[in-house]
Amino acid sequence: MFKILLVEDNEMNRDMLSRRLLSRGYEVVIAVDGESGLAMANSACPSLILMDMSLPVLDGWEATRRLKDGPQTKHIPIIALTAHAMAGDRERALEAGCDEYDTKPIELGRLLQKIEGLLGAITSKAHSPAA
Amino acid sequence: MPLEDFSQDIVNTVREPLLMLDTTLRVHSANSAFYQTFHVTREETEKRLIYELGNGQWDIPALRTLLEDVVPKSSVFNDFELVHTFPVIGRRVMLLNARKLKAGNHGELLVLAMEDVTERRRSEADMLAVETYAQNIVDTVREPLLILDTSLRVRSANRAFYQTFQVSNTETEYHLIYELGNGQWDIPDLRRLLEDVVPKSTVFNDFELVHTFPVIGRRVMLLNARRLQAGNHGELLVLAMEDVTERRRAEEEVAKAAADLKAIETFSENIVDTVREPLLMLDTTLRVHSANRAFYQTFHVTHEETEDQLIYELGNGQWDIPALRTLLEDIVPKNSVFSDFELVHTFPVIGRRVMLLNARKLKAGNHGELLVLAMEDVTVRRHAEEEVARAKETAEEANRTKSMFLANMSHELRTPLNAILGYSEMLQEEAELHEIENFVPDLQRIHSAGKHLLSLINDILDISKIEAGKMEIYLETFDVGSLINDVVGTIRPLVEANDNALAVRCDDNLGTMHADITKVRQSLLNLLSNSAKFTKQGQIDLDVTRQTTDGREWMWFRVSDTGIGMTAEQLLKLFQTFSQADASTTRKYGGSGLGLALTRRFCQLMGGDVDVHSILGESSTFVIKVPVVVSEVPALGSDGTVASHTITATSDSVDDEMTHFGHTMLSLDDDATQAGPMRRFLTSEGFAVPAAGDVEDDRSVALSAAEVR
Repeated sequence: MFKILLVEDNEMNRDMLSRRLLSRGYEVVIAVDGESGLAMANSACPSLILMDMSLPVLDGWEATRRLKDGPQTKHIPIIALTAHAMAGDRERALEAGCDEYDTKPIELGRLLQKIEGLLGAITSKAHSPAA
Repeated sequence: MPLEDFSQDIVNTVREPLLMLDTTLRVHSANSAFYQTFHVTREETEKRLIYELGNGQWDIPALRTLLEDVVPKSSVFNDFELVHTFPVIGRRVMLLNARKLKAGNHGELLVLAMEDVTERRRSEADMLAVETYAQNIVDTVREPLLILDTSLRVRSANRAFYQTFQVSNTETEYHLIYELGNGQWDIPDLRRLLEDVVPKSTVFNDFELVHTFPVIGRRVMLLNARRLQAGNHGELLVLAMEDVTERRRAEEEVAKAAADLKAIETFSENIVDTVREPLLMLDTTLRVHSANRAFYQTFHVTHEETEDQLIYELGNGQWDIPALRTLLEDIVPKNSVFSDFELVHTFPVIGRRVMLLNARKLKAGNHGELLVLAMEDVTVRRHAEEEVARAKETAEEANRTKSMFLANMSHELRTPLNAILGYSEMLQEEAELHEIENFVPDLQRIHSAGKHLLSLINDILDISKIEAGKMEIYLETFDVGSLINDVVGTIRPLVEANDNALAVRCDDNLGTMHADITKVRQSLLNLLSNSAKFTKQGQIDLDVTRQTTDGREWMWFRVSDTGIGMTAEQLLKLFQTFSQADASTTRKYGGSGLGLALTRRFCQLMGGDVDVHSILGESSTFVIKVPVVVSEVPALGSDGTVASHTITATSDSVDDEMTHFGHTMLSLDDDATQAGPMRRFLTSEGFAVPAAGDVEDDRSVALSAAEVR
């Protein structure tokens, strides 16, 4: 079972998305701001992080940069989630080190595809040395 | 004897030389005048033959003729003129008179009296020369002269007279002046002159006589007269007639010209005074030559305070303005004209003014060079312009604020909407999971209404971003085929909802394009969803082709349907924001009315455009044209935004729209009465409207018109 870290400050979005991921068989851990997200990533060792970009305390871009700098966390795929459907946001997210990007409101099917894509890559990588 | 002595005394007293010859022409005696005149003695003279006198100096052929031929045949002869050059006394003109006398015992004697007229003859010759000379002068004088005697008869006239009045000598000389030329000189004024004025003075000048002569017409004559004592001719009146007809005419013309000039000057002065903008005429030393009424009124000054003053000294130095000095001393001397020099100055009396100065250097005749300085008071105009600029700035600011507000609001709206969509979706899943199937349709309605609301909000956000100049394009290279698959997958449910058939035709090798995939996708979805919405049980076609025009590769996405079509008016408003075909359409079909406007803006941002044409009640065709490789430059402003472009797009007028689509339009209406008005409307809007007959023909015309496009 994959463990997904959801960093999201909006309670309803957090509740909704975590419940839907849970119902799809994922284990979900929660953080409500960038800093706690950073701590959680280090302590909980998630397989993937869903990162809201507009976060209090430490914003998603900065949190992503630090995660990608951390030796313990740099391999964890991050999907940026943002309400700003601006072209620049996508670039900025990728620049910060995000592996994928999706806009809110979440279209669950599309997001699941992206999650599965990234996790599948990890799985195949994880399996390749053994193969 | 005493008697003889007496007569001898008389002979000697006579002052003219006398010579008494006997019949043999020997000198009997001479008188003392003879001896004195010819410087000879008695001894050299008496008893000598006349021809031998003074060594033969009297042997003169003419004298011989006289003495030997003339005298013998007559007892007396008079004034025989003898010209001879004597050795001692020189050339002499002698007037010889002879008498034959019975001299008693002396027999017959010839008394030869010699009158020496040398001097007289000389002075007579001189006189003649003078007279000829005078006559020549008189003849040479170009003005007619008439010489009258005291009885006013013409003594003579000069050539000029004869020529001027076209008369001859004989018609003139010795005629009374009044009778000349059949009485044409019998002029009352002339009579008054000759009979009243002349007798009382010896000279009079410039008596002007205006008279119409039968032959030569109306003349203006300037008469000058002199009374002269003309020697033996007695008193004469010289009447000089100067024909000043031409001169008078010229003078009149000059006077008229001067009057005209004066009138023009007055006229121009009046104009200058009438001109509502203040004018100042300066001389080259920058002193005021004159000013017009507007100047005095505008600046509340008088003539006296102004004229001949240095401009800088006017009104206690209120015109001593550095900018004006620069203008008058630096700019004006180097140019003969300058325009619209703007001068802002606060005048003591009239306050702050914005003046537009215009100057012309003029050659003002005898006034020398003048500088005309026209001052247009544009204070009010400038104020108005500033107001307009401020108002425009305020309006633009308000518009930006509105756009920012909409952008922010739509973001705020999306957060709760996300929750609505998410939870309704979740409830739907859970209802299915727990087999509470009867909840599902309602949950689906909540979800679909939420999706609709979200798309409206997204459209508003996009338009706001465009209007706020914040819309950016993100270019990437993507596979067109995949995009089409994606789009068709998304739109198919909507197409099928109205029982429409969708046919997709793509060129074999569409390949990739470099553009903003999100905007291309959204544009295609907009057009396809429109077609799906406005077509029922019809056909929707999507044709994707690569085209090359002007050496550039384009991707054409043609979306056509067999839907309700549009009227000309609807087509004209089609791409305007918040404008669906009409309000009833919005009620019937929903939508924000932003879709097409956004689609067009998106395409324009990428350097492309959207074309449309439609046949009411039959079909609509939209074509998206986007460069295969979109360049950053044309869509983006220098600051990285598309502000200027989108402002232009936002302010698109109907006319602007016209230039982008529909050069040719076909109007179809089964009601023949509608054909005329529609054609007129379309033509007035700049469309070419091909002639069309029945429906079958119209289809072909429509097709060919579409081909042209």
